[in-house]
Amino acid sequence: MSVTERVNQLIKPHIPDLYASAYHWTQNQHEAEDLVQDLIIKSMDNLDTLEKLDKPALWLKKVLYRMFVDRHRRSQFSTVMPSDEISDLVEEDQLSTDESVDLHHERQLRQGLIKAMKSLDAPQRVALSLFEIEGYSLQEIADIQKVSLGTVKSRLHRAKEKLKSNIHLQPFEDSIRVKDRGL
Amino acid sequence: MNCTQCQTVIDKDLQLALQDVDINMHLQECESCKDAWKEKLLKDQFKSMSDIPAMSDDFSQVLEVRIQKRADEIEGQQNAQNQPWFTYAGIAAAFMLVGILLQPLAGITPDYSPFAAPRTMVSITPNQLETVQIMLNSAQDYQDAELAITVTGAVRFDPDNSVQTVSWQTSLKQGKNVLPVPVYLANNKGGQIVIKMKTQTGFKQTYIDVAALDAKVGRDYL
Repeated sequence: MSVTERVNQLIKPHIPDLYASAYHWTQNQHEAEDLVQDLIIKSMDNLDTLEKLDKPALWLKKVLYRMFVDRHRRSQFSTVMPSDEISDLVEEDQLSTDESVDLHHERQLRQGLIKAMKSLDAPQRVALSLFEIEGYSLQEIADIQKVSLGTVKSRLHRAKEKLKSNIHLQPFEDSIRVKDRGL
Repeated sequence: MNCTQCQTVIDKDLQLALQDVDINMHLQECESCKDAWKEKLLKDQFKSMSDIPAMSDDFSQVLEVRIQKRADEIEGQQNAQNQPWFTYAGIAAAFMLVGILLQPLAGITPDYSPFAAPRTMVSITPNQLETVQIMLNSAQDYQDAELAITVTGAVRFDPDNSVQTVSWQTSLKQGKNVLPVPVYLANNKGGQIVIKMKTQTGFKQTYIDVAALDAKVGRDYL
């Protein structure tokens, strides 16, 4: 079997899942695509290993995680800001004319959450994403991150606390109160 | 409004809870309920984040090109490795060389065996220009040998140089020929130096793996 045939058989079926994880971790489509592509090319050197594994998907996810952490560390020393983050800054807090106040608040909340997610360190961000969005068990996350269960729990707790500290309860607005009470 | 009533409404419908004046006022004052509200809010937001954008239109196309390129490289290396020894021995006996041995400049005593392993490895410090000394052990004199050196992966000839292959004609003396090659490792992921030698009567290609010294981060998962 040729190398490309083995890639088609062993790796390609996992691409959608890998891309979903990469997107959740990076919150950026292009970064996620780059990450997945680089992972696939790197994994081509380890097709023999992949063939012997019971759960190749988990192995690929572990490698993806290590690659993401490496990139995240490197990006912390970079002075270049990704273009999508610049546009986030520009678009932030702008209420479009056809957008309701509720929708605007919802969008603000979502943007704030994404920004807060990005401010988490890579292991925390990945643990939170795997657990809360992708539905992985604590044990699976511990396997992927190669840490103990306690460390995973600690990362999740700290990550949530950081996110919560970015959520602020708006005082009730008079206009809404009048409207909602039918006054 | 007490905490039980407040948290019941929060669990049931977050939007409704936010539109209720009494609950909002309670949340402003009660840290426990405010935390429950934030927890529920996060859960709802995480659910909505499970939707992801589709991959770019050209993702598959670009990926296919990259896979094919890498597959060609791997198959090329495998073919070279699978060459039976008698082929090398025949070439060596009939024509030239054959031993490419490698050592860092300040390295260990080299092995001058005429049948050196076709692949070998050297570890160098990343982000630092180093010289790798390649020993060509030729069986006889050659006036018109063609040498081509290609660097792959993170290996460069120098930090700013995008050139990946250099080739030139040279003479080889019978015995040991030392070829110093400047090598720069751009990151700790490593790469290869590929050496191709061609004379009128023979051809040989050898790969040298270049790894980063103390490359724990870059190499422990592959």
